[in-house]
Amino acid sequence: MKLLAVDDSSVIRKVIIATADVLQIETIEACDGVEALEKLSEYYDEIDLILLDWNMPEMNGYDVLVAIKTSDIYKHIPVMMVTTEGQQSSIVAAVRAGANNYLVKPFTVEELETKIVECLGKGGNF
Amino acid sequence: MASFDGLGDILADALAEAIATVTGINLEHMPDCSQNFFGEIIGAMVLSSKKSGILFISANEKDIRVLCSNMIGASEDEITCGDTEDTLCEFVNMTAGSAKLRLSDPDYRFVLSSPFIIRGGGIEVSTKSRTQVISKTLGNGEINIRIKFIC
Repeated sequence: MKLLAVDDSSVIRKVIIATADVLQIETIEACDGVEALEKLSEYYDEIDLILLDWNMPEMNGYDVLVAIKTSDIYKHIPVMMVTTEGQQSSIVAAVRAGANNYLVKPFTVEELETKIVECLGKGGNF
Repeated sequence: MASFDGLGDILADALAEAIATVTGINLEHMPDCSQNFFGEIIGAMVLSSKKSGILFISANEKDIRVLCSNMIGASEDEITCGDTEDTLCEFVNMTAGSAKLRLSDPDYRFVLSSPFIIRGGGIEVSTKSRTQVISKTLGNGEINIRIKFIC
């Protein structure tokens, strides 16, 4: 299994990689929205889950989410937003745009692990 | 509705909670005896609203290295300058994001900028006489981290 971790923070990507390793999931990294779409076009048939930060340079996570969920090629891939944007309005906007799950920072490794398993086990939905 | 003084506690509590959640290290409120002191590395962010301000979180490099090491499960020797900067930026992000959720006062409905880093020892910030400044320190006897909000 593979997940795409999209976050401009290398430290958060390292936390995701370490957690995915425990679950025996391989991680592909992207540091902004533009790189995320590049990686997605290259690996879309191998990626089982996308973890997506909201606030990033170049192209933000919400715009990446919309691009994924309006694409016939990518829309089946579950997307979990992993972000400090914890307001109800942001969560509703993300779910309306097609986000399958949502994790607000700060999170524990256990919370991240549980959410990843939940996403992969239930086809990604809440 | 949070007063300006109350805002300081909200920011400090948000930072303490973020650090405890991602590193497992608990920090307590400490007496704040040197208002102008900043650590060697400062993470900052502009919070814009009716009452805009700048949030600073600072510490010495070695303290951020310990927090980063706990966060990513690597030894302190493996932590790079980029890792410490990223860690501090994440704490700024998490603190501002959590505080935003806890504040109901419309004056503090903040829009957050990207966090940024300032490096250097002995940095002091002077403000005009009517500028409001919040200064809080969190610590546990080994790690000290300073939070400052200038509005």
